[in-house]
Amino acid sequence: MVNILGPACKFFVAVLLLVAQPNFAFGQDTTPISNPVSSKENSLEEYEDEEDFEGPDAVAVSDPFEKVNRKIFNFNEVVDKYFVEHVARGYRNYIPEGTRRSIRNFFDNLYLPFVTLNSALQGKSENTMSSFSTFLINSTIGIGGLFDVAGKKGISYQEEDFGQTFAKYNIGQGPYLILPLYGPSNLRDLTGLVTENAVNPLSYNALKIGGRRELLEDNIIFGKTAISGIDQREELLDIVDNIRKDSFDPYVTIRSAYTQRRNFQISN
Amino acid sequence: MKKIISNICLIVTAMFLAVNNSYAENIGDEKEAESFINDFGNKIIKITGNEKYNPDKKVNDLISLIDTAIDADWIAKFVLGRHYRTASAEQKEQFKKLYREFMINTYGPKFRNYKGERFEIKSVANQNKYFAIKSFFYPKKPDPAVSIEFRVKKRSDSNGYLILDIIAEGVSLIETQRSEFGSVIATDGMDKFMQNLQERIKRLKAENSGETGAKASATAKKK
Repeated sequence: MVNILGPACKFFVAVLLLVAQPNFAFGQDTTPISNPVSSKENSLEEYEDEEDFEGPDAVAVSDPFEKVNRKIFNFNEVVDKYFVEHVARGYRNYIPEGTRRSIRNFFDNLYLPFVTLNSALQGKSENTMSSFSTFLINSTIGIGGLFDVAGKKGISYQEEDFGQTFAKYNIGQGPYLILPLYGPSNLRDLTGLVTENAVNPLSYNALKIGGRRELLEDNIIFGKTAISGIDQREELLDIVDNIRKDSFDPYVTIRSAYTQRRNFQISN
Repeated sequence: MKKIISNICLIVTAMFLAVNNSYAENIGDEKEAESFINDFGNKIIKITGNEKYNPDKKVNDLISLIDTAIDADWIAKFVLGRHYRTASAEQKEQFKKLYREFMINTYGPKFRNYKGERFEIKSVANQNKYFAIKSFFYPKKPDPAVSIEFRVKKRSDSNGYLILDIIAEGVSLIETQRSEFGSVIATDGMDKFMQNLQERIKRLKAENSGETGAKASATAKKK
């Protein structure tokens, strides 16, 4: 398909590949994050006279590109409503749950080396070991990651990515961004995402791990990314439905939820 | 001079103790707060898991459970943020009423289809101004457990406890709503926002009774 549609489509696919693995408001993380910042303007104490409860730290989000972000957000919504959401719903309705679970396990397993690397970079020795042993066990006994044997044996780990690692090294979240066809992010998370794709042997592979730039054919990378994207969108079907139905301003709801969620992942 | 310094020290210590005591008095007892949340979580599991209940009963029970458990008046003030100060007394009162209705009609029905198996409290921490109670809802396998933190405080009339915030997987309900409401009020103004809220509540009530009503009539036809 990529070849039929020519260079314009290749660029489109490249953008898709770079930013795929959607990480909507609460998704499994593949992307990096934002910093918890207490904002004086939002502080409860400013208007709270009698009450003692201070509430959780107010989340300050720098969003200087809100106008552009909102336009991209609306574009993503249209693409999602008319295309991606239907595909994800079809995937949920027609693919048996066991198969979907195996597909998710496969992608989770493929991502584990990054979890191990980032855990090590953050000095989390326990998570480094548990994610590494999960990868070894599931890649072998779990037949290439299709079965989460380690998880069933009680080995658990936390997702870590480059964005969280950057945050640990005190790099600020930067401006909030909505990425085309991808969703919410920020400058730090986007940098993490680009780093991840550059060092990934199965993606752009800028480090030439394995000796070559392209270890996989374009079509395979596209297929892998598309299926992984559909899997993650399926996971978020109910959450996105709820936000669309309940929120008076979905853009702001997702911005706030995304930032809080990433802060939570960093502080864990 | 020494006397003055020692007097100042005494006053500061007394003030510090007084402040600490007032917090301790206000938020209540750790065990009681834990038992309140334990009861709340298990009631949700019981109501949603009871197959004998019809959808109407489930929704009604959930709505009244949430209504009695959350401090809707306080949350209403929190979510208005800086707009609370500029709102008129009339707007404040009206918003509090609307917010309560909005909360119970939005979140009550959401649990209707929830299939939880077990509720468990992991930890209780005294944060001086509230208790932070970390818990897990365990759905039927193989879905992963959902981590929920409740923030709880004793009622001002000392008659039980109330929930101030629910934080699901790191996302705070009241922080998110404050951002959302703040943005809408800044764009549309308070009156327009309350009008929208009123329309939303109307729609939610119609949906809630419509959905359950339709299901009930379908069941009746089958019989």
